[in-house]
Amino acid sequence: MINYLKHGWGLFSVLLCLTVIIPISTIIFFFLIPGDETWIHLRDNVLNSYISNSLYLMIFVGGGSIIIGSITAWLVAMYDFPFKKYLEWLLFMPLAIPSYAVAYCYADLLGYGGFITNNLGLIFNSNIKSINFYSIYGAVFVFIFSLYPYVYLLMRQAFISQSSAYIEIAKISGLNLLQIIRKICLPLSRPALAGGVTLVIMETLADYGVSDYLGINTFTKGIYKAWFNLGDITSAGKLSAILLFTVAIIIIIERKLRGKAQYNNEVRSNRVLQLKKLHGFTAILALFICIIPVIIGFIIPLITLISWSIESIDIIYTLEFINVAISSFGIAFFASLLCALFALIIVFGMRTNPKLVNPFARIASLGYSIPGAVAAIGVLIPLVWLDNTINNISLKYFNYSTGLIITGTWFGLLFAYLVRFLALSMQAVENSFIKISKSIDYAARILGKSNRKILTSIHIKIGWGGISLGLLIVFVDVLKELPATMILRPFGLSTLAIKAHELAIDERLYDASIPLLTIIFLCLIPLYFLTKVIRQE
Amino acid sequence: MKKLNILFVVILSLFFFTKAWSDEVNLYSARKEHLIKPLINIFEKETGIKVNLVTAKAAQLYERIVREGKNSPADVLLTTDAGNLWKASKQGLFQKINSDYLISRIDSRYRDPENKWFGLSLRARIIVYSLDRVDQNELRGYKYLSDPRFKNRILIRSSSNIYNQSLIAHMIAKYGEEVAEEWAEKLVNNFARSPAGGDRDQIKAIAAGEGDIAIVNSYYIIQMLNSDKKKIFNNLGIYFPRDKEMGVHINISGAGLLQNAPNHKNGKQLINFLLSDKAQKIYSFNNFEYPVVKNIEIPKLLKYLGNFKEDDIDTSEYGRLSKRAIKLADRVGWQ
Repeated sequence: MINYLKHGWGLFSVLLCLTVIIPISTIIFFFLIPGDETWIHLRDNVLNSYISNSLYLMIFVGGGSIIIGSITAWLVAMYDFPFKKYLEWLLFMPLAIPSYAVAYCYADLLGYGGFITNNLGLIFNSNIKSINFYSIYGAVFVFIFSLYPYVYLLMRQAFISQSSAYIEIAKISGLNLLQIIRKICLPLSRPALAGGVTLVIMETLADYGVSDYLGINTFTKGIYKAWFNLGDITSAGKLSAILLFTVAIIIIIERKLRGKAQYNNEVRSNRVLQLKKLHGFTAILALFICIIPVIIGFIIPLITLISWSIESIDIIYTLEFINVAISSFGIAFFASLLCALFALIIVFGMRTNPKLVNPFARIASLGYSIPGAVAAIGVLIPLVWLDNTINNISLKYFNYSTGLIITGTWFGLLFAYLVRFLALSMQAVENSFIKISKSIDYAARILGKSNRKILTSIHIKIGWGGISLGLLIVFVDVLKELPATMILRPFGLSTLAIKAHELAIDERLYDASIPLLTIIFLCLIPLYFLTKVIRQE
Repeated sequence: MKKLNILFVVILSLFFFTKAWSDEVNLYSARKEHLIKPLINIFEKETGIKVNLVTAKAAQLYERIVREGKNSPADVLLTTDAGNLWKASKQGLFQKINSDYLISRIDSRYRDPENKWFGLSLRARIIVYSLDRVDQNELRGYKYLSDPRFKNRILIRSSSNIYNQSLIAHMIAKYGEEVAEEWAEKLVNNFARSPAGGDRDQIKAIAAGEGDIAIVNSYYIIQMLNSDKKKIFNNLGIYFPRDKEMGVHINISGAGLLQNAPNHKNGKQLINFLLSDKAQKIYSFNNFEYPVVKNIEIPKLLKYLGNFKEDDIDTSEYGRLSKRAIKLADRVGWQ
């Protein structure tokens, strides 16, 4: 009986993975179509620079967010210092501002007549009229400070849930702080670190907005060029497939390097880790280190947006705008629930039956590395196929044409979000389940509990912090999501991200600031609940 | 588990509340919502036809229409750039509209020779220059911008932008590919900086002294003149490039009726409306574009830009040559 249940759960997980894999494999399918002259042109003229720029971004953004994300996470998780309570969630806030908006803000501040350049002139009496932000350095800057929270969040969760016993034993054995970090904490939190950086890298690689605005030719820009400019979706699909393979290879290498290491907390400690209280200089230093990324990634863009919004305040108070805000909230809410649900089942499936589920789960989480617009086409193709099949059956047996009943509905859109963002919630859930000792599962099973019971009454309860983290990240990402929403949305549905983008691309940044600020405001709602969950823990 | 069931029901119900209106038209628009909403509102009020709107990039909408196939709900495709319209028409997405009214309203340069798409508004790609560092007598047509005298002085956005692709396509049409490529190569050599940012950013860069001459679309200039950035223009001049061979590069926004349009009558009515005097006036007063219909009242600021000589090219050429233009830009290293 137990055996049957075990496989039943695994098969169900695989089934869920497969629904997500279908659109992803649609993209891979493009890779098999032979390339035409557009492909050859791209390959011969521009592909090399696209690849080297993307590699550069990947390395520096990945490195930068590891440094900022883990140091801040460490400080927040291990120490107590002034304003820590606020910094703990402020450090997350850069995620709430779309990276392209951060790029717009800094380009404006550093450009002609911008706040920074104007004041630099006053302070240093220099004659600098503008600082060129339109470069790959600018892009690295923007990505690091808007994406480090992925590393921060997962690392923080990992540090907090690490058993204090290890650290105490290490202290008793006379290890100093650096040794503890190097020998105990970092190795133990490796899955979280890898997970966080993978998310940062995938998001960087799939970005279009920032590199387009700052004029950097990245791989994804090449994908969009092939499609939007040269009208060749096959080449775009091929390039996306390459991107996907690259990310897959990175993930596989990381897993291989990890070897057979296990990361479960086998040693339990009843005592919560005592936070060390910092005083004097060290407290100020910790405060300073944590506040810098908040200021750069959140406060400065926020103030810039607010100052812009003051100039265009008259357009906001319309009923329509409120509608847009509500529907944005609605889709983000449902999408995050849907992703969490899938992630819970799949991750638990990986736990009960890793051999069967793991490969499917890994492929299913690659959707995050596909640029949104291409992922949307991957979703569109099978959905239309399904619609047409339904239509044909209905015509044949009932003589009634159903038209397209899924494509261009909320359902299709939610499915696209699932394909694209499943990796985010899986990462968060996996990260929290990994800390639950396997012996708990065995014990429960011996007591005759079914898998479902084990999941709902043990894992969800213990891993609630990670699950809600996943909900939050997906919520925020859906709020910011642009291309897939644009392509797949039903008539009449508009989102804050679309509003902001349409105004911004029309170079009406001042007007775009209001939808952007509303996105930030909406992010505060789930964040409020998350901090409550964390406190309870 | 109960919660899961509720969630499931909610998601399913979302999926069912979709279609309702009887008299409606489905508009796929590559023009942003805030630009066309005023027009749609008037159309709905006047005709009682509800407009269902989806906006996205032209290529995205195009792909959605192609994939949706014969069951596509789309009636009208609205987009900027003649190249996009040409592409859609070539793929057979549009159906012909035989209307003497439309033909009489639009100059033949700005509509499809087979009457499958129609221009709705015009924009000129022109020069803004520094009054301190550029003598207006230095300026001639687009072609002259490749002269070495402009070394490190030209500002223009990336060639991934369709405005530039159409300009390059226009040069190819005028001078042939070889000459156009040589022109582009020398122009790239004259760039003051690697292309980045939007059109407005090029204008700001002149003010910051990073370059002397920017190539931008006309409506951006007016939008800036209409804002607090107005003072920048105290030191800037505006010039409509022309020489013996080529007048000002004009592009259009336009629309076409889709082949499988379920509400094709309403679709036609919408296109007719967009070319009415009232709608044309909104294009120029709200968006600062030039009306495609002659003798429509335009705002003062548009008049301020002055009269200019449009080039006589058929805008459908931009589409025909766009692929070649993009590849040319890649070859000469125009980022």
